[in-house]
Amino acid sequence: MSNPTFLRRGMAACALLCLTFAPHLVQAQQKIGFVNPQRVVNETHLGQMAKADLARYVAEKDRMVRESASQVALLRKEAEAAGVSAAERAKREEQLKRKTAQHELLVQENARDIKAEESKLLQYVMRRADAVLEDIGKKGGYAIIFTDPAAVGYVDKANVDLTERVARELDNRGK
Amino acid sequence: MRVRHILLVCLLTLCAPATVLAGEPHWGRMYSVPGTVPVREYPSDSALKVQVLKPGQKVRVDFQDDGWAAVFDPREPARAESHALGYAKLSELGGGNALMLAQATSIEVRKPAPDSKPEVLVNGKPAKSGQKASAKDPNSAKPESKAKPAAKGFGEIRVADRQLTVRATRDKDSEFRKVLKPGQTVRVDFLEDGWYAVFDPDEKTRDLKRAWGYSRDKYLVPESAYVPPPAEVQAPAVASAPAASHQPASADASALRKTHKSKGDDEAVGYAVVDRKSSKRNPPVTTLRVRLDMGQPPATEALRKIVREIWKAERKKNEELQLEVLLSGMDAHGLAYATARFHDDGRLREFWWRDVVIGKGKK
Repeated sequence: MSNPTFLRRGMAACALLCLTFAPHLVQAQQKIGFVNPQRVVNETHLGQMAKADLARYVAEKDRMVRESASQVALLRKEAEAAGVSAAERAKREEQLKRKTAQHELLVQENARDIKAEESKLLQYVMRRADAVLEDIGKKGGYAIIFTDPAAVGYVDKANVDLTERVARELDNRGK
Repeated sequence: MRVRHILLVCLLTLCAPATVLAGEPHWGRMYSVPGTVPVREYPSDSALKVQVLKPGQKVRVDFQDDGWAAVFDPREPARAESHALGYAKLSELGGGNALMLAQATSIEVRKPAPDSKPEVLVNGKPAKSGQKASAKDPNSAKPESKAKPAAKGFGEIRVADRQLTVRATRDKDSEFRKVLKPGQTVRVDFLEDGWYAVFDPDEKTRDLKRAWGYSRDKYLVPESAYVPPPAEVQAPAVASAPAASHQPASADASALRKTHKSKGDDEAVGYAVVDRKSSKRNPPVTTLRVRLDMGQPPATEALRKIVREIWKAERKKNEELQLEVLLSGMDAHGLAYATARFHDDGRLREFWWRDVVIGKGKK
């Protein structure tokens, strides 16, 4: 059925291959990379767009706050106006109080909304970067790629830092 | 030849503006403004004043609702609310100066029999030789007078300019009766509060009991003013569209696809409702996610108009509705391209967009 000489030769070739490549496999498992997400945002076209989007959002929120603040200022002026009856003054002060509370709530809500929007935009960019990261990781044989700068004490930029590579690849994909 | 002469005589007997208006679009109503009239961004007294009409200025008026109407340039060819200059109060427009001839949406010459005299019909009604545009005529003064018996049957024949819900009463939240398809012809009458009673076009008896129900007047246009939507918008593919799987099984789900026209762009823009979610906040906020039938975003101003139109069409009574706008090809559950929040009267409170989700900036 089968030729024993052929089988023997095949097994020997496999053993030789294993001996040749095994150290490289072990080495590959030990490769570690690092990517700085903030730099990915700062240094990519996509990240820049996200920042511009956030700036527009903040401007829109600021506009609302300015409008609300001018209404408060107007009510304050009316409440402090001279020659107003006590009843009218009390009424105006009540309006001012209500509007001031609304304004403060708006400022708080805006701060919360801006933070949420920033997080959404960052996540969006990083999700796109993750796809690039995965490709680089697989092709480059990286076992781990860190993305949290706080978790890394020292980075050998020349060998480990993949930020530039990820940013370049992300820009290329966006073209 | 004889027909042409009669038509000429009839036209000459009509008022002078006839010649001025010849060749102009035939939709809406023309008004000659009696005094200065503010045109506002929205149909509300508190809305921003975007323009002031001068005495004697002529404007085209349509989309009447609650005593307000959209005001257009008289030469505006397309009957699209998004092309309006703004909104004005009908009472301020001075109905008394409505130009009768301009109300003519059709002039037709008929010859009932080979030997009989041809008759000229203006808006489907026989035109008398002495007919003139009378500024003093109180009937012509009413920009949207209640439908009167037409030449045949009662009321008038109108066409649904989009998928349109027919409801049990003159209320958006009332019981659903049926849906009119875009281009479907119906007989309408009993106009009240911006709602028409809708009848079978062949209905002969003017009786509310025989009506199918009620529909918004602004979506029921005269036959001559009806412009069929482009093929891709017309495609009744709501059921097969990916968005359909997310639709609520409510009556309004059948009217998910509507058409809009964005300013400066004559291409109709359709949209599909992808999702409708209500928060548990007090008062509850409903987030409507819609997908526009366009791969690239329109100009900012056009998009603002589109979202306002969608808000008007989709908002239920007293609902706080905010919109998330997706473009064609975008993930239904991903980050929206634009978000809009509104005041109760339909003015935009907040509006922003994200270029990052389309990967490039607006033109």
